[in-house]
Amino acid sequence: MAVERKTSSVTLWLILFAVGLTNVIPFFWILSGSFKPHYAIHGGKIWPWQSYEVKKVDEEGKPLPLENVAGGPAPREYNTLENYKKVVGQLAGLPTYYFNTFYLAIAGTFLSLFLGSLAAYGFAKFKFAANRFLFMLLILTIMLPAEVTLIGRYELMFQFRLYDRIMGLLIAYVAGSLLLIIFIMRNVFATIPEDLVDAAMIDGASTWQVFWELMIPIGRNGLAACAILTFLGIWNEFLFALTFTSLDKVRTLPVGVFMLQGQFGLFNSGMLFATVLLSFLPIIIVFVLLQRYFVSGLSAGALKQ
Amino acid sequence: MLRWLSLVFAILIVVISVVEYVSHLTPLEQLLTVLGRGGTQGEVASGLNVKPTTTIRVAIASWQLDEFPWEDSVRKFEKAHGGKIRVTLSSIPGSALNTMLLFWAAGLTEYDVVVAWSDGEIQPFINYNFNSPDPERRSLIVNVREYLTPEQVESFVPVMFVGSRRRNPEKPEEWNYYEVPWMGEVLALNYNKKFFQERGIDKVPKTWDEVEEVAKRLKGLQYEGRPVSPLALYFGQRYGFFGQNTYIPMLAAFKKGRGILDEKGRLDVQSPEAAKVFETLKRYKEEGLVSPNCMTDVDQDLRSRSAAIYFHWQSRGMWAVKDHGTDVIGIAPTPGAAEAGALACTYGAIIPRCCPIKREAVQFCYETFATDAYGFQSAVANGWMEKGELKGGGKMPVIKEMYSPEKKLNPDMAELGRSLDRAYYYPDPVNWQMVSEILVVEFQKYLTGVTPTPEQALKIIQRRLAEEVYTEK
Repeated sequence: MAVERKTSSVTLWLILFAVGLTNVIPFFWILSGSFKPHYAIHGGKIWPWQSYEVKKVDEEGKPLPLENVAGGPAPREYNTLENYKKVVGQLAGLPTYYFNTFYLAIAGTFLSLFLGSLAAYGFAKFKFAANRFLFMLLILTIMLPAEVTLIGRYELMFQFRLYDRIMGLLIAYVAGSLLLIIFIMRNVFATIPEDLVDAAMIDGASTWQVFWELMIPIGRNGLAACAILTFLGIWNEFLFALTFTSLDKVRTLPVGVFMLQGQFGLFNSGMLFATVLLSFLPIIIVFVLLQRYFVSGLSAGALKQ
Repeated sequence: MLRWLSLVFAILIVVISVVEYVSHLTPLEQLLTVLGRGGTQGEVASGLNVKPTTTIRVAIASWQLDEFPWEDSVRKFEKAHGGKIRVTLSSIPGSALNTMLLFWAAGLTEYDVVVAWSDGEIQPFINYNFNSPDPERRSLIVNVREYLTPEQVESFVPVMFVGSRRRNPEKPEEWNYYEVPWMGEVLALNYNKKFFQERGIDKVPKTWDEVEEVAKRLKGLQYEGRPVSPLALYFGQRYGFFGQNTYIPMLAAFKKGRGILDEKGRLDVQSPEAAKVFETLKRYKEEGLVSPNCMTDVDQDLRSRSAAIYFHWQSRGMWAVKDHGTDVIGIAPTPGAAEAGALACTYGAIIPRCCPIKREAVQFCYETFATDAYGFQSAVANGWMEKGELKGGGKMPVIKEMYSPEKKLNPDMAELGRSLDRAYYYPDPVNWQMVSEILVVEFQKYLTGVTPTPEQALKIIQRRLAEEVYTEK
């Protein structure tokens, strides 16, 4: 019996390890590739222990011939910081893209949480006509892919002169994030016992005070989970940022990364990897800071009292 | 406390947004202004102590930024004009050109000049309202011929206008030109000289029979323990490259100078030569002469030395030259080009009709990008040095002057330049994407045996083109 249990736990462990690897390997692949020149990557030399020929150039920058076709005694190297230097040099707008993305992610997350939790509070704790119907209607719109509404949104942006403005993107992102927040926070608020609300009311708390001093502190795990999801969503958003902007000064990081591509969509892979790594560093920081709330927040509301 | 902080933050976001809406200052610009670091940037052109009277706003596709010396040429232009003209440069993503259609149609523009991608991509801008009897309302971009002198037009290699021209509805004997070309591309046979040497091949193939013969001799090569394919051919759906790099050059060569069009002026998909193209390509594949990446992407095959011959624009070959040098990579005309010519395409600058300074914009484009006054055309061909690194280069210059012996063009490119007189453009550029997609999908069906014969595959293509592209019964 014990042997059987041990075997099954080893099998489970192996499966989990394999699943973990499929998630971790691409990350290390990108990390390692960011320290290699593009020709080494395309030649299959991606891992840190694989060496590649160093391209030698003359004073005019033209490549010098290698001594023989098989590589032979040409100098070899394992890793280089060249890609990071090039990213900083070539992507002149990088600080602007970073700032815009930060501003949008922070302001968008804040506004979405603020408005979304207010709406969720209403759906969870107030009884009014068509409460359920309106909530279902909102949920239905989650199922509509954003791409479907792209042309309509573009037309709206154009008509309201919100094109090429950070504000336009902010409105689009907040509107897009609200649904998920309402969905999660309604469930979180619904699990908070009515008795607590009644007790607060008896103590003289207004509806606003109940929301701020009871609902928000108790639902902070849910809010943290929503914050992570919204922040990630806005930080990585590409389609709207590409479609609704044409000026450099309003561009965001994902579009900046996209702009590294060459003619016919070809990338200098090493540089691309370096930029991708630089672009998701803040995401890692946010996730590490808030991760303890994340799982508990997502599962909040799963149990009904 | 948290409540008040939230309130302040919410108000701050609203204020920033309102200021942005009214003044078009982004949050970053607002911050810099508050910190006293915004405002006067770029008011004086090129460091000259002159207040500019005209500002030309230029947008450039991001991929082009690092390949050409825009900044350098533009600053030289400003200096040459005594600082009276100021030019602002912005980069735009490679696929965002179409988002400008709505704005330009409404008479609004953020840019006076857009350095557009290939001339194929500007067709929707030319076609917009093209049938209007009022020339002022026709097209979203200007006919640059109205703003160029005859001498200036004459200075271009004529084929550079083929992709962006339309008959003038008022004077059908005249052409309207809708872009100021600044670089060209010609289809070429790019190859690895070392692999050729290794198999004792001393001549670049000049016919498709020779290509097959050379490819058979190259079979079985290895580089650093990895197999090398003789031919990097596109059989996949990426960017219409099957039509562009594989079908068209072979068809042109087989037709021996009779062109790649049918009697309606569309891509020939019905002649016996068209069937021969399908048959030949399938044979190449069955004999193992084609790269295993052919169904997806062979773009990196020559650069990574996993293929010996690669058909694409000459600049793709020059790209590999930058990696490995002229000692390793060679560029030659496509098979049969001496008789049939070669496919060419142009990249040009377009000026929206709603631009308030059309003449200045066109003249700026011509002077800065389409002449060698500031070294731009030399950089197009030979590249340019920046911080000890050779950048760009390998594109075809657009003006005749650059092909004179004094300009010392790369010999391979000079040779290609000689075929520009007989160069031709994509058939039916407006519908090219759809045509090329149908072509490659039906070719793939033939390749995999779904359609048994090339004749049947071509019949299906003809029917699909008639129904889906040209809406004919």
